[in-house]
Amino acid sequence: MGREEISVKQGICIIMMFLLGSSLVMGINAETAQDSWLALILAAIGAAPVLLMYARIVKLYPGKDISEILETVLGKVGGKAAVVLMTWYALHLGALVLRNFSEFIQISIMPETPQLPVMIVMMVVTAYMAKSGMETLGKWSMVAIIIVLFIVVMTILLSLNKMDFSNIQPVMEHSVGQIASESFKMFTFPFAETVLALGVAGSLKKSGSPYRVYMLALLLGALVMLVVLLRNIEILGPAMMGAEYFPSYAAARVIKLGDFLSRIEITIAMNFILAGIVKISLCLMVAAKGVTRLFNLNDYRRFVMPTGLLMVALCAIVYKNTMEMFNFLPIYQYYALPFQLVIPLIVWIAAEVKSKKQKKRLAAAGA
Amino acid sequence: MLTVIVLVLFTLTAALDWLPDIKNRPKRELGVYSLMFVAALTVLILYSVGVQVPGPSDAIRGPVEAIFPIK
Repeated sequence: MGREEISVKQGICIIMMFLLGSSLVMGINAETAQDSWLALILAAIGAAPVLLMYARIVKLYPGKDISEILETVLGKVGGKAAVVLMTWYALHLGALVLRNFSEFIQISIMPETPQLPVMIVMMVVTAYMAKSGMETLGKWSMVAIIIVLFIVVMTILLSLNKMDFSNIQPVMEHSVGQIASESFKMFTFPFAETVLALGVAGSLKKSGSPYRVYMLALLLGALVMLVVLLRNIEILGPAMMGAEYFPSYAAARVIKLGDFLSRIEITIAMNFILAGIVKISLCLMVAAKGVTRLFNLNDYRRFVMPTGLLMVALCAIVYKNTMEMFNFLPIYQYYALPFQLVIPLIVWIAAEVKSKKQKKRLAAAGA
Repeated sequence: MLTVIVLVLFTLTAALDWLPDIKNRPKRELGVYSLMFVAALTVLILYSVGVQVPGPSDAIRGPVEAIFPIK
């Protein structure tokens, strides 16, 4: 199997699409209402050092994926245990995003259709994408991001006459504690979820800077999310936004241009599909790579389909209903921390120690 | 109907993804593939006939709520 390579631009687009994945439609519906934008900015600032840590790990082990790095740094047993955890997280996150997608389709577009066929169709598409490899995912992201951004800009321009800019006031109505708590939620979903990009980091061109990829993706992704959040607040108002499961969809529903342009909200569903494909494909790829590594097998592509089937099975049983899905969000912020922060932190520290020892040994050998 | 959809999905997966090249695949690979295939099939068949299969959310919720202060 040849090494797959993606450019810095493709890396940025993949991580941006991963960030926007489900959060464009459901993630940035914060309890802090009109102060949510402050929470989002805080979350992005807080995520920067964590993403820099991810980038540093990639820099220390260029050309290696997280599962290889884990085994190199933590040894055979510790490494395998960490690979099991990261593989589970990738599989679980993929199932959660798939469920967000099927719930969204059922609530907003096809209320009579059971969710299982929707999950299956989405999984087959993402499995095909994951089997095609990182290069294809990179090219897809570069094209899809243009469409996503076009839709975001279009919905803003078309809804300018419906916007009430006073909806953003009063600023700082919520306490600093509430805003900080909300920003922590936004930190774990979606910013720190980019830890899974480490699972495919080995595909980044060795000449490319992982710092640039992570930081630019964070900056641009947070900017798009901020714009979308402000659009939703200004169109819906804080109360309506808090009451909606999918605020972006609700915001786009009010757009009507004369008698000839209406029902624009379907473009929001398009955004979810385009970005969701990238996020689920990446999760699937990382999970399949983890399975391959765990059993000392060769080609992850051969395990994409059974991993996808497992993801659908997990997706079907992960929640009993829509309420449970939204009630899981406060749990998720703590549940995700070991995968997003603890394991990478251990890996980073161990990798730095190893790299320093290696440098000393080389210097001693040189002298 | 859901059960038929599940069966069609797994039949197609077996026919298009698993059976081709089966002779050239190492035994361990076949074993892991079969294990994942059967696990997913079992869960989805049970789900499609309306059996409540316990999900991971409750198992995650318990320890997290015990450790962290969640309203």
